[in-house]
Amino acid sequence: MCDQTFMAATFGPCDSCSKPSPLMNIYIKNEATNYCSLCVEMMACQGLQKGETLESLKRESETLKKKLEEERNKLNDVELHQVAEKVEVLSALSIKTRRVLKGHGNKVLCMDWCKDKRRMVSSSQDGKVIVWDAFTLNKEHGVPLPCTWVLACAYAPSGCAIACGGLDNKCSVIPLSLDKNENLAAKKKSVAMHTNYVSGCSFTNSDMQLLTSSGDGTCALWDVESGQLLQSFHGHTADVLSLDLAPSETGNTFVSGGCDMKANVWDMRSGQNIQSFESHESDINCVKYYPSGDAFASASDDATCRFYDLRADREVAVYQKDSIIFGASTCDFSLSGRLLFAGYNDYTINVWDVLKGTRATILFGHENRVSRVRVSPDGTALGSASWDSTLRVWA
Amino acid sequence: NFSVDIFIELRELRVGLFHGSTLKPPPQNKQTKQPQHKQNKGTNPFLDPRGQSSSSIVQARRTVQQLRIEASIERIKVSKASSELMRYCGEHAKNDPLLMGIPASENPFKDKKPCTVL
Repeated sequence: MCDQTFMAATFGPCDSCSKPSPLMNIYIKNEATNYCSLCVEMMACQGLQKGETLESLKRESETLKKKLEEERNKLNDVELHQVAEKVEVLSALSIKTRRVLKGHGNKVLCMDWCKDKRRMVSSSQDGKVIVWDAFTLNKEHGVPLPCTWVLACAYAPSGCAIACGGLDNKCSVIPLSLDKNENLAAKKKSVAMHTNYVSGCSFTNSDMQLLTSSGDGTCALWDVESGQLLQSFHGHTADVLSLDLAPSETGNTFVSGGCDMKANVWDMRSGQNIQSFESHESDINCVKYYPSGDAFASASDDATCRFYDLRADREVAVYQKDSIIFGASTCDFSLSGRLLFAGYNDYTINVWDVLKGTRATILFGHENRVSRVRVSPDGTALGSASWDSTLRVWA
Repeated sequence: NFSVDIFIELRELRVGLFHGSTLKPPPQNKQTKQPQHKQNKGTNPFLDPRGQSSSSIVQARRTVQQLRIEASIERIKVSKASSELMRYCGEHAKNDPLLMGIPASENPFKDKKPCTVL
């Protein structure tokens, strides 16, 4: 019986039988190993129960999928916007651009607020990462990086460091110093190593651990000091584009979304995929937890944003309009969770009433795609980054 | 590379339980100017550390195990979940500056009215 052909990136002695042959790169208990195809098949068959064949497994997965559908639908007794009819209608919002931060030479791809509610870090296609004081428009630090397309950046909880990564397949941490003349690029330390671009990064509750998502389809948790991989998260079948940590009161989980149109919720300690949501019709560009931690929103290329409740285990709202045909690339909640700010590729930011499902207002101002929106830690302002090479602060 | 694309397509069709994800045409509204990193997705199997194990049995078992976990979690009704979400909003609405609007004196981003010193 001939072996199924597969794409082999390496050739050498198999980790199991030591015979030189084309090797498959697989993960056993989070360890990357290389087995020849015969050993892979043997290992797979070892754990099989009596009578378990590919056919029976396929059938079981179909029945399980149907059962999941039924269970979820049983609990869908009412729609969120119906329950929300008794909530007061939103009063008119007066949100305007209050600051325009110019200084990047090319598209701004990502931004994040510092916990001190006034500093922001932003990263751009030109390879620069800039730390701004949003009150005074001062540029406090500027770090040139050797790669272009710095897709992700994040501020450490202490405010003393930033993380950034992108097409260089790495995520690096840069400690910030008060000395303006210090060469920050020299103190840059590579923490995360992926085999494809880094699309998102976030510190956990401390400066010591960093969570990253990557185009290689995995997410990973790293120890900043040693650069060691603490946990990896496998389950997406395509590039992972975004991740968000659950708000601290609710524990050790995070949600990720990717090009496989799925949003997965993970347990950080075990690496287990706890829940999975597949209702988008195109790539999920951004995921963000609701402030209470019981739900999350996602923004997608299919021009919709969707709202998923974790305890009901299903989508509970879709934010869309016939007039919106461009993909949404980013989203964030206001402090109370009543408003969802979503940035679109048609250069606007739509503000949605989360409960009623209607659009509250549109924010115009950017002259190119909005790549990232983030509400400041105390909720007083919204920061947005755009391909028009500026950042705006709205309040 | 034309022949690599055909090879990948055949391989994807052969690998059993891949959620039926054969190469899909992009949706109508997709921008032609994709960000550079997205253009690389899914086309270079050498960059995939999982090696996209063609062992269908390994894949199938993993899928079944995952589905078993997902099917076993406890769920609540949407009506209950919705009312909890509403309650959270209501409790925190008054502290939400972007929702309520706060006066210029309290918002460092809003311009304060000029004051004259006598």
